[in-house]
Amino acid sequence: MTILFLAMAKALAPFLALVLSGLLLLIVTAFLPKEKTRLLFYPTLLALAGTTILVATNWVDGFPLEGGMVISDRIAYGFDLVFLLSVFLSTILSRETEEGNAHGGEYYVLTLFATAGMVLMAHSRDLLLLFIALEIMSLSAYILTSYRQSAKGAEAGMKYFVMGAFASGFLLYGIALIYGATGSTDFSVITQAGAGATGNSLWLIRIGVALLLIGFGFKIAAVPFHFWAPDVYEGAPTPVTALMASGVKAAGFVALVRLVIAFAPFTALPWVKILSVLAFLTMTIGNLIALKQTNIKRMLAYSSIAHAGYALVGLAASIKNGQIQEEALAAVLFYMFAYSLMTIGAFAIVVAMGRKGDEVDEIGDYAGLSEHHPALAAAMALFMISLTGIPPTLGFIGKFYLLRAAVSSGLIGLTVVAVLNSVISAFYYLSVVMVIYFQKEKGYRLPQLSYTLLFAVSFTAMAVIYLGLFPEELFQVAKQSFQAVVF
Amino acid sequence: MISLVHYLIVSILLFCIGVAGFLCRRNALVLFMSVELMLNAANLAFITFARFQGNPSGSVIAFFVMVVAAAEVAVGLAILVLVFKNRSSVDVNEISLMKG
Repeated sequence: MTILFLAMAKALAPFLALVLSGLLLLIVTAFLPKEKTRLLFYPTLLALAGTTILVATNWVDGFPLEGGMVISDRIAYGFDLVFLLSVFLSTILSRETEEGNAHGGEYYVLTLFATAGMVLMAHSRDLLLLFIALEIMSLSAYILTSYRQSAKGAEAGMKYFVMGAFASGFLLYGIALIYGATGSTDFSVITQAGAGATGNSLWLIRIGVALLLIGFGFKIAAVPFHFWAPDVYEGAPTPVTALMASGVKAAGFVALVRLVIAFAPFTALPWVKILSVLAFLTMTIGNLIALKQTNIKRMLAYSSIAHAGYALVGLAASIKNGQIQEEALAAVLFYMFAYSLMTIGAFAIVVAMGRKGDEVDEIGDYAGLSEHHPALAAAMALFMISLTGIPPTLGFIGKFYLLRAAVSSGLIGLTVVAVLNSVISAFYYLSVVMVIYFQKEKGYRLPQLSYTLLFAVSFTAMAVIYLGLFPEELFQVAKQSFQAVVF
Repeated sequence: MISLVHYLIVSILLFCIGVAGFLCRRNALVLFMSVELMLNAANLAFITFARFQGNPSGSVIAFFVMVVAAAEVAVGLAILVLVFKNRSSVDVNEISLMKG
């Protein structure tokens, strides 16, 4: 009994650490004087770093713990690492803008709660827990979006909230139908009951799964459920945008991975067709609309939509051919990691370009950056090249793994579409590089750089290059995450 | 005799009214109400299945959903107040600073 309890505690330690430190900081915030609350930046980073260590230890020990509503396998811990990395980096970015300083502690508390929600999403083996975890994450994200109480911030928070609540309505109704058909919300019971389901109850499960797909489609901003994303990304404070593009999106993908693993074998839906069409639309429409954006945050929002499309290719490949499921899903996890690094790097530059309280959002404002800040300009160019998917960067490797899985599963057409999309995306990514290096400056303001920001930029830049050159070990980690799939 | 199917039809109707209201109405408060209607439709389905299958976990789930819905309303109304402070209107057609 005690041994089981200890194992449970160890498995849940990352989640507990995040929730407890969040609650602790919430109490501390209430008693600190307003101007001191920004000091909570340091304990937040400490809590995130400590949680990362816990997650990494648990990943290495790698015990899939059965029982209860929580699952502790390497899939969950692998995605936890992506969440923690993106939250850590975006928290570092928040130091620089007004949001991190003026309003104080609640920002960091909400960040920790959002992370706890993401972690719990990765660990749920029960649809009800998945729903609640999603809500913990989303509610924190809604507040963070409108944290800067400006007109734009309020509008962004409003749109995010309304669309998110609408999506969770679909999600919940899907769960209700699956519960009705199988009598349970537990994944392993559902797969057992579902395997024997026929007639009406199989149709209930199918409709339920379709509603779940719609709900998570909203969360990862897949076309045609993407229309909220550009406005929300533009209006939110930049560090929060970075978090939404990386961590929140990865959390949507972990839920989709679980759905695919649990439901694809027995529902006999045209999964490959559905996901292929979704991937095709998401990539193509994301990239085409990104072409005409002049605001850098909107451009990165459409780019984030397009990148979700690339990752969906990996999901489709994992169902198309069961033989390579492990490799395809590992490629999805790797891509989430890679995309998080690159996009947070790009958002770090957006933060660097703005001064406190007023952000520089237009791509034209970046003209002449190469003369004043050659290092920043080079880093931005690197991130843009990586997002396009040109070697020797991490973005190229991520796409390479995804498309390799797609080719070996036989999704040739979708692979061609993905490559063509990368070519389209080169136009808008490289036009940013052109503006930075070849356009005359107009009324340029020197960005002030702090050590935290320099750390974020140099860390992401070095990781993008280093992992672009030596990706093999990290991909092995991703692959091992999918070796022992429990249900 | 009222059967499981009757309850389910009511629940599906409620859900569809919620979706239709969300898509057609332009007042943000009414949008919130529509979302609540969708969540309550799901609750009705949960309780129906729990009742007719003699499986109490569905009723428990309904309580969790109510808590989540209450939390959602708290956050949503706070954001709505923020929007109203900024532009003295909660019509979603007028909330359009960002486009493109």
